[in-house]
Amino acid sequence: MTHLTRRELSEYVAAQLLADNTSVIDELAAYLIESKRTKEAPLIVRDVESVLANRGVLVAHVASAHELSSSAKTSLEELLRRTFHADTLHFKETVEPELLGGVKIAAADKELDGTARRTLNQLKSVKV
Amino acid sequence: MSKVNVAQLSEELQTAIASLSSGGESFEEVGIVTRVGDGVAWIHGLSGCGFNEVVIIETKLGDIEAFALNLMEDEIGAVLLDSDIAVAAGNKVRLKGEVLSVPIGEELLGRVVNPLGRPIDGGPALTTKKRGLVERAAVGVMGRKHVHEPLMTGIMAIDSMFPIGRGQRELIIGDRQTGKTAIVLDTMINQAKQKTGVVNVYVAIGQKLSKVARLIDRLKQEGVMDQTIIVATGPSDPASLLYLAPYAGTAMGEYFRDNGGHALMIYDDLSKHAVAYRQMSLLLRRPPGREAFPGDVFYLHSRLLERSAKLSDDLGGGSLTALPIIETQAGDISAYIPTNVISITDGQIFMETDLFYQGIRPAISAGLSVSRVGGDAQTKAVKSVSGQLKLGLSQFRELAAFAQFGSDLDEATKHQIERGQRLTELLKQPQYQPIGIWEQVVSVYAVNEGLFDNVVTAKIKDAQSDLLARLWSKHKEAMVELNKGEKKFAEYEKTVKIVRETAEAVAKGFEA
Repeated sequence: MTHLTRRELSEYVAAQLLADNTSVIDELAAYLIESKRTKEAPLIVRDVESVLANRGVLVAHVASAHELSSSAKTSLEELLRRTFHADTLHFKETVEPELLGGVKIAAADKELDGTARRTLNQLKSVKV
Repeated sequence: MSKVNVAQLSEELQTAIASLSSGGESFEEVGIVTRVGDGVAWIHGLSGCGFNEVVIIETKLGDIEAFALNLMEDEIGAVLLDSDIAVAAGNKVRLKGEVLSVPIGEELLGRVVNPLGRPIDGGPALTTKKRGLVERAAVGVMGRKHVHEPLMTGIMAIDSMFPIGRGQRELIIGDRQTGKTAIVLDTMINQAKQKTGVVNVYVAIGQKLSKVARLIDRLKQEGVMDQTIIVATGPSDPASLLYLAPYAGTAMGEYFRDNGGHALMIYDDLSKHAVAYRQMSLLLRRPPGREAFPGDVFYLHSRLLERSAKLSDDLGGGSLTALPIIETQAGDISAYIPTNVISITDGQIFMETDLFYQGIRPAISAGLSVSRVGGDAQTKAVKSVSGQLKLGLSQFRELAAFAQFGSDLDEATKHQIERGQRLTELLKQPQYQPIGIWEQVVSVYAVNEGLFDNVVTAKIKDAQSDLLARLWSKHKEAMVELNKGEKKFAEYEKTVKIVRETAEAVAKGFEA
């Protein structure tokens, strides 16, 4: 079986998804099982998200310590659309109390960590 | 904890988002460690990562830095600058946005640092704000000048036969335990003794730390440490640090070169450096070549040694001289790394095990050693007396085999052998005792001119000491003048006369 790089796979899968061919997921799963590369699945998903982001479809994972209000969500959406030049935005929201405060946005292979936890960690790592 | 007011939180978030979108913070590229082992981490993502760029791995025990050496289609191979114990698959990786750099400046003088520029001598932290790039392009053609100023090692055999100039790269090559480090140590001591103002940068690559500690003690004892920087790595350090050490040391030396000063780089030794790079390359899955070294092992050393140069007057006229050391196996200088470095450098000083065990120390082979550019840089006075020295000594070593048939030889050959024996004896020099220009000129002149021909060979060193002591006590001013070495020895007419008379008087006391 021809070995396809993750980049090749993700380019193909993203193109098929944009063409509304959802059966590509099953194809990909079969290929990964056949080529014994199932461990790479999370990385391929990440790559696919990255390719999709370059083509105007953004999947954003937003984590915050508390549930976001609708106005906060709107602001975030606006920020993401502007930053990534996204036409379509898929918003996945999670609440993680251990973040203490603020918000963390992961989109494609980029991340913006504005949480209180990160600020505290950074302060901790600075030697006084 | 009291319940947070949702309306208030929303406002806070709005403010945070506004500040983020106004450019207070921005989206960072984030990669993920997919696997790690043997000091190498493989990272998914970070498509914007550059070659040699530093990445920061967020581990449970804090941030660990690495630098990217393999940029592949699907992943990045990064070499860790610290232990890999804390790094685990799944750790997030961020770009630091800069290539490796180290602190530079005069503040480093007298300090012992690791290849990342962190002090390891227990002294205070470095406060210098200046930083130099670890990997930096060498000076171009127009920025250079030919090597013309001498860098005196204080070792008579080297200064008279294989002179080294400032900006030259002279390889010191030989088997283990042949006195390679002793030569560079004496050269460092001589810089302080002769007050040349040359800064020493000693780079220990995978050397036993006990040896480095001994060397530092000696340098302190001789008062050389104040003008010396030590970049130390031991055998237990990660290969990445061994690989970086000579580049980091060079960055520190370049500071002095670029500011019109003179620095002497000592790489002890590049064999271990090549081995460390081979280890890294094999772990990065680069294809092995001859002796399992990667294909770019020549470039590894050529780009390092090309940074040593004599700068043009427009650039301040500073210099960076390099004395790389290579350890051979059973005297084989035709192995891969020795031939590479021989071809890169401007000459080599070959140390012979046989000579070492015959008690001829420094055990420099006159036949295999050469200095390709140092002739122009040789002090005039030394050059004028040592012209035929190398040839005479090489011929003597060739003829030495016949010495046992002494009675069957013609007078000319016998004379050549006897002169060679005296020269060999003269060029023996104890460790930690580098000598100045006048001492070298006078000694070589006395033997070359046959003034010591009647001295018993075994007493040549005694006769030399006596001669030097008498000249210094009675004719100090003339010797101080000669020590400048600006003219041919014959042009110091009065001094020549004094030396002849004193040498003849001394010789009488050591005749058979």
